[in-house]
Amino acid sequence: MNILGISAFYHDSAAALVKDGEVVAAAQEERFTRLKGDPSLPVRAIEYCLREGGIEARDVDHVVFYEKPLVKFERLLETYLAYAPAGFESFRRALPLWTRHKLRIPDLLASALADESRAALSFMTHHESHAASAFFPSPFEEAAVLTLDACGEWGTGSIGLGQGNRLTTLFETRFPHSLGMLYSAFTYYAGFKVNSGEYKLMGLAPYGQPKYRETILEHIVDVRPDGSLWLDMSYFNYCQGLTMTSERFHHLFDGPPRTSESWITQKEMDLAASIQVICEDVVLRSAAHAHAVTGSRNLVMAGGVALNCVANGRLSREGPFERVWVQPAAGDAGGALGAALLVHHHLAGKPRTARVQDSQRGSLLGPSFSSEEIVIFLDSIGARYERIEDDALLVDRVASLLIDEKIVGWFHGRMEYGPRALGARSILGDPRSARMQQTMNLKIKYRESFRPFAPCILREHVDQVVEMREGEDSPYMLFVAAVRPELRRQLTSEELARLHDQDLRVRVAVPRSTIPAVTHVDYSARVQTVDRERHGRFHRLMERFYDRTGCPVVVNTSFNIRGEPIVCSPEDAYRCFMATEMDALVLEDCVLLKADQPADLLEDAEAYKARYELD
Amino acid sequence: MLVVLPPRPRRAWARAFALATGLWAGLAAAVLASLAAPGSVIAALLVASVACVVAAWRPRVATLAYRVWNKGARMYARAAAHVAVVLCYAVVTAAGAAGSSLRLQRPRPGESLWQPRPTLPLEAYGSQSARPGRARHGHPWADLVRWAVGTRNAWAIFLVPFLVLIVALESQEQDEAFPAGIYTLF
Repeated sequence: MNILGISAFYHDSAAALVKDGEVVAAAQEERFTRLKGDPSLPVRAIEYCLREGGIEARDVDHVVFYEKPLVKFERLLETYLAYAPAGFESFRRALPLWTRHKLRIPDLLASALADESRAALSFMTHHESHAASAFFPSPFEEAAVLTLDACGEWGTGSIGLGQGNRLTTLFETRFPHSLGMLYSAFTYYAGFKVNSGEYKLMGLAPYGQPKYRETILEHIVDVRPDGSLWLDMSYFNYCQGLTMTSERFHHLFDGPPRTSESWITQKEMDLAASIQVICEDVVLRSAAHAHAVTGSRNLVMAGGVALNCVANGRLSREGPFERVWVQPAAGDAGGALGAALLVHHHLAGKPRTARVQDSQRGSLLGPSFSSEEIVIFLDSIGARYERIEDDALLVDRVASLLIDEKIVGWFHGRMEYGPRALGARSILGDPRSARMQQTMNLKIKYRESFRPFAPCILREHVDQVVEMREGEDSPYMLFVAAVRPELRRQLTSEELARLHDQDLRVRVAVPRSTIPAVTHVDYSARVQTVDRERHGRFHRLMERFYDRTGCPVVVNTSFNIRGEPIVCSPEDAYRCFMATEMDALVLEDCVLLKADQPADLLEDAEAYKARYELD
Repeated sequence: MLVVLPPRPRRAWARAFALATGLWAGLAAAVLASLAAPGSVIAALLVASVACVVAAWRPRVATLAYRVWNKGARMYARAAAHVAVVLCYAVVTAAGAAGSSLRLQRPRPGESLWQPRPTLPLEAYGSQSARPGRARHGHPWADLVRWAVGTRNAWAIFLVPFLVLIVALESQEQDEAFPAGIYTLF
């Protein structure tokens, strides 16, 4: 049975193909169209999924959309009913989207499949799609399910119970009272983009003190002991306007929202710290409530808030659950996968067997390209490369490049599904280098970031690097842990003074540990564990790097520049390589050095950057 | 049916447009002429036919006419769509006087905002709403009306004529771009 799951028309659309219960393919549309967070119907992602599954559109038995459009329409109308006559501007912009797209989803899906398909059509609910994406691929036979995001149809969060092939929804919180919205409001106020800048706010939090926590709790949000919350909507404008926050909110915090790209002040840092603390508190309370009502020892999570890896780290450490698993495509893109799995297990009634290492396959569910295809491409453009077919020689060569402090674009195997680069479309560096963080940011990512990069750590050594248990799994970069005390550096008085600099780039450049490129100012690190089973050649590369340096860590950042979707094809990767100051590129078996490339193939960096809107 | 035609016409479209408008114009002229002086009908039809033939054989003229039409149609469609949206919102505002199910007031102390929620029943999988049913291709308005009637949202039926009008006034150019980057709850 071939089931095609689709999420679209909000942000980050995606398609996923489940074939006889196996997740065969899943990808976000943005990777193909090169438009970050592309919300349009994922036509190219669908084409890819069918190709990967070796099927035609007419072979699809079931198409499933990740939410209920008419229930969402009801929520939209009820919101306008509550605020009318205010809200006209929002209504004016919303209505054409509904008449063109969201009220015509059956027709649009049929046209995406070229009208060849006679597949049955289903519509799941938003939070059940999230819940299914969290539970069904998880390694648990039974688990409590917690979903938290901005909003779906009416739901803004849900608690459920997964058992075998059944998923039962128990409770939900409803719009407009939403943890995701609250966090996004502060993201907006701090001058970052809603729906993509939330991770920047999270990264900003360690620089601040939670000075505004009490103010927020007193005026804006009422958090109940069970983690449910109520928002005073007079501080927000998202129901009736086109901004997140209202004048009353601005008055409370003594000024308008920060302008994007302007100087970040201590106020933004303190606000970030404050809302982060509240977010963690709500997540922990909600999880405790889920534990109380389900009695389960395991927890699975999805929804945009589940990408808050600082909160996830606390949840993992502080309990009450023994084990926590988070869907790596926790945002709306993951809804495509969840919806497809719901049809398989619920509607078709197919059994489910939990796998020890989960069924997400490392979230490497996107397209791959053979070395032969890559050679044909490189030859066609006249690129200079060395093909190293011996795996041991290849990883040794790349390890040498890393040891020489070269920055390496690493393109291997199937592309990641979800927002994180997990070693298939990554830029790698040596974490021991004090200048690596700054070099990568300025010369490769073209940003002046205050955030360190994420460490990839050999799973067998994870407990030696960060405060995690021996062999503990974190393959999706969704948990933050502290760097071990013995790796931390004693700071000099001059370095301590730099930690109070107004410029965050100066602060983050102070080496805090023996792996400074991946250590945040509070000694935290966003960990990805790398293991033999999931990561193959990437694991062998890291092993080789460890053998030669004694360091089981490499810097991993996504293979893109700021505002660009992660690269998908060898063409995307080569273009990005030639537009940045990356030193080397590894495309499967082919190693390319920047110094060897013909000058006429160099991309103009400014023109390249101009293609992508800043995120 | 769209008022605004596709923006970049193929030559055949422009010719078809010129022929159609020429014939319609000729027909209208003939009807009007027959009212004034019965003898001039044939002359009016002849002139219209010649105009059609010239337009069909001179693609530049046809394309120009097509563009002029589209420019006017676009202006008209934009204004008419705006009026339709205003009227639509007037319906919403009137219905809003009866209240909304949005819960905005602070809950009582000790009250949880976690509300019991049943799992979606299998019979509702095929429906675009939470009610049992099945979505069908090509019937967006029927689905909307069925939902409105079945969910105590009958007032929303009054929106349907305006929505149909808005669809008729859409242009293909608008359809190509899905607006991103603005914050929406849409």
